[in-house]
Amino acid sequence: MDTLHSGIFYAFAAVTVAGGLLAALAAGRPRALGLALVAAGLAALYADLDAGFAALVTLVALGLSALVLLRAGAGRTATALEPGTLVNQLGASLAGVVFLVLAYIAFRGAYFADYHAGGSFNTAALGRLLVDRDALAVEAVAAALLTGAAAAVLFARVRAR
Amino acid sequence: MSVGIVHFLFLGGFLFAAGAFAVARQRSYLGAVAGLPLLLAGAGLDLVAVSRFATARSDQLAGQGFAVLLAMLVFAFVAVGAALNRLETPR
Repeated sequence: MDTLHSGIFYAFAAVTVAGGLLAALAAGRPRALGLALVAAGLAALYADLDAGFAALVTLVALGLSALVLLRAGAGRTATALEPGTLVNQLGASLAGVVFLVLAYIAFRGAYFADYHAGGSFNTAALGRLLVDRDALAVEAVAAALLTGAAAAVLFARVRAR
Repeated sequence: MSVGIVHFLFLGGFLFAAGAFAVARQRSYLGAVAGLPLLLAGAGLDLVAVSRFATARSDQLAGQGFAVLLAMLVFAFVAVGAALNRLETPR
């Protein structure tokens, strides 16, 4: 990539990082604004990667998500975050560990633009595997997850009464 | 400094971790829902970057297709989450 692409990357990566921090740390309207910033930054980065359609869909989907969040939290004031329980704090710390692991993989990983011994391994092959060869198993897992989610919602509603 | 796959993977990892942080830390339902788009956006960015940089002979559109799917999934998650939040919140 030339200097122009590098400049575009760093500018919109900064926008995306700022939006991500705002969406993760703030509450109320700033949270929705953060998500809108992520939408704009990500769409520009996709466009820079020659993925114009993905950029458009991402901009629309994340922009609408920001609007939904804005509307859902409109009646509330942007108060400080509630710290949460010990489990919440532990989960947040684990998210930091996840970031360190992903950053290490990004810097130290070796990326091969070819095939491995077991045949082609890419997103197309993964898609064929999930929706063609193992479609029944994937549907079974999806049905189990859906049933579990519905049961969890019902259980939470019963407990709340 | 030229930009390569590592830069995009680093940014995607940051978005994923920020989303996981938001989902795990925030006690409010809406706050947790707001973390999901970040999680999936990070994954989508990695998919597009890998399909752009690290696939020599395979179809570059495959990664973009997954990213489009993830973006639509994000909106569905947030819409359902906001609706559930509205249902659960006492008036």
